Amino acid sequence: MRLRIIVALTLGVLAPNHSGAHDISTTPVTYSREISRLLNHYCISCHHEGGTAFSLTSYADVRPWAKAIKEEALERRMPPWGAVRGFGDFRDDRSLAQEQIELIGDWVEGGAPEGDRALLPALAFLPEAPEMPPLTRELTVAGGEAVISTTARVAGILPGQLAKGSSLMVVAHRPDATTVPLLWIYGYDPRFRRSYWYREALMLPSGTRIDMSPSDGSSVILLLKKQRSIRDLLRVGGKQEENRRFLQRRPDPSACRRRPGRNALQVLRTQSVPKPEGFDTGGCAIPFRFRRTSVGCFQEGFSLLVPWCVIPSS
Amino acid sequence: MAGFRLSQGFPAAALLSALLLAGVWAQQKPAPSPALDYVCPMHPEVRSAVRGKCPKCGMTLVPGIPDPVEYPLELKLTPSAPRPGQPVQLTFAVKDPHTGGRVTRFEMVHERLFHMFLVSQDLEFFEHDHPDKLPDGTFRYEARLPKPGMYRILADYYPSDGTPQLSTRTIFAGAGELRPARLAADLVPKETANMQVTLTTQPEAPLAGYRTLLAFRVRPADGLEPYLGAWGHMLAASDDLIDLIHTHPSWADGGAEVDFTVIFPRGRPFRLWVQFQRKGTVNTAVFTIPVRTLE
Repeated sequence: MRLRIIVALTLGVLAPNHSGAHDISTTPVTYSREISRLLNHYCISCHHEGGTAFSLTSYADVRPWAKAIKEEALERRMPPWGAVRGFGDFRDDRSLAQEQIELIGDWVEGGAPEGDRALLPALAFLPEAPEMPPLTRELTVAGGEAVISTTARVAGILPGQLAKGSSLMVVAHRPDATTVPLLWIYGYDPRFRRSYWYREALMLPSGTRIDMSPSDGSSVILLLKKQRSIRDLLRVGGKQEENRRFLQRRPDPSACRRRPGRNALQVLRTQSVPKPEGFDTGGCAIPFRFRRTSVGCFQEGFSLLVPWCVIPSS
Repeated sequence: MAGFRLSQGFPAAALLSALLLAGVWAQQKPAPSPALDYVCPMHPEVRSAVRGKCPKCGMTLVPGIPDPVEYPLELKLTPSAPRPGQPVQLTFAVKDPHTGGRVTRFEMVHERLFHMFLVSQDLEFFEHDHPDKLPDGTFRYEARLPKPGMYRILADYYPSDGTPQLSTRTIFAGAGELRPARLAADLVPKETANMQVTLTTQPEAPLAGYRTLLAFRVRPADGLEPYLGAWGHMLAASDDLIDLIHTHPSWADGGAEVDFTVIFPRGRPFRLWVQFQRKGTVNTAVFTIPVRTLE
């Protein structure tokens, strides 16, 4: 054993150090190679210059925060997804996988080295909400246990009343004795309250019992799927916010064209597309021509797939 | 082992284990330039300047930086409402995120196409096994969930043309109570199938967020064999089953001592299932260690 320690110490001292003259780097995981990619994917949509949180887009930005990043990631407070992985199958799961958490821990404990800048990825700002959510109505479940009285297609779920820092596990017991995990919130932070959308809507027949643990007066809101028509989709009034969020992701000032007196979106034609897996109503692809809106200008001819809409009979 | 324990506080032990790790990695030779950078798709810390195999898992090293993409895992239970103690068939299907179709080609990970860990909510039931691949690309496993309640599944698979995946799923047998386990510390040496396993940790009281060296000593050590491509396998699970860490030795030479290095993410009790193979027999030893948070 003693020999092994001496060998290890010697090699440790001789190990190459890319991170600066005074740091002792004891990990091959580097910012340039692994950590920048994780931050790109999970953090910088908020953490950038002019974003909603301080910037984490360069090593100089990130290094002073390394310890804090480790603590937040290991405690699963950041990224602020809030739900436990593998309990409910959600679209666009923004939580870190266990091995990504391990990678961050390893990097910071190893001295948070920068590594070879040639390995840095291009900065990529990913959209926070890749898809417009389906049209839903809400069903609030409170008091630890509730039985639903109609058949529901549950497209999503969001926390209702829930104390800061608390955890909550929600399952559905169907009448056929199957049990479905719905949501497991860990260390709730109301600042990041959000809806969770299932990869595929869950069918919960009448008589399904929703069970919450602990049953301490917390509540959740089930988002039940409704059919959406093209008219719904394009109605600027109620849907303005959704449209705005969706369109904001592909601004193209060069395509800006004033069309006084028209709504934000103009439908050119609709086109039937095969029914996507997991949707009940078929779908349409709607090529749009865009005009200037209050939030920017948008490219002409952009195609929006609306899988939950009803195809109009011609 | 006594020579290793410096009778001192955590910083010295941390520094020592850190240097020890640096030594282990230094032996694996970091790449001098990106052009010569070969990496294990499974163990990002394993790199080489030349083509070769990962010393941890035997996987072929690949050039460049794999970009992790999630391959969703679908799990079907037959019957759909499993009853405690009754057989239930688990069918896993992996979806290609690019095409939406089912993945049918997989790479070997630790000598198997699919690893599955199954743990009950009270952390009393543990299974590490390998579902069979069917011609349609799905994997099937016959399980028996011994008692009512929640079970967590950790699945480990590597779609060809993709990146290695670790997915977690949750299933239920009967209704059961949703209550976290109450785990008491247990570091007593364990008599397993054909060996005794003892565990010493450095530091003695592991801290969340910092490296812990888990030094296992097996007795007798003669006839110790690699099990599924490694000198040992370990699953570490937090008492609430949120953290499920599957890891392999950071140091082992086929002798009596096998070391794992883990950063426990949170200050909670963790249960460890460590597996070694001796003379063709797999030994599973179970320990429970409390992990503190540094205030």
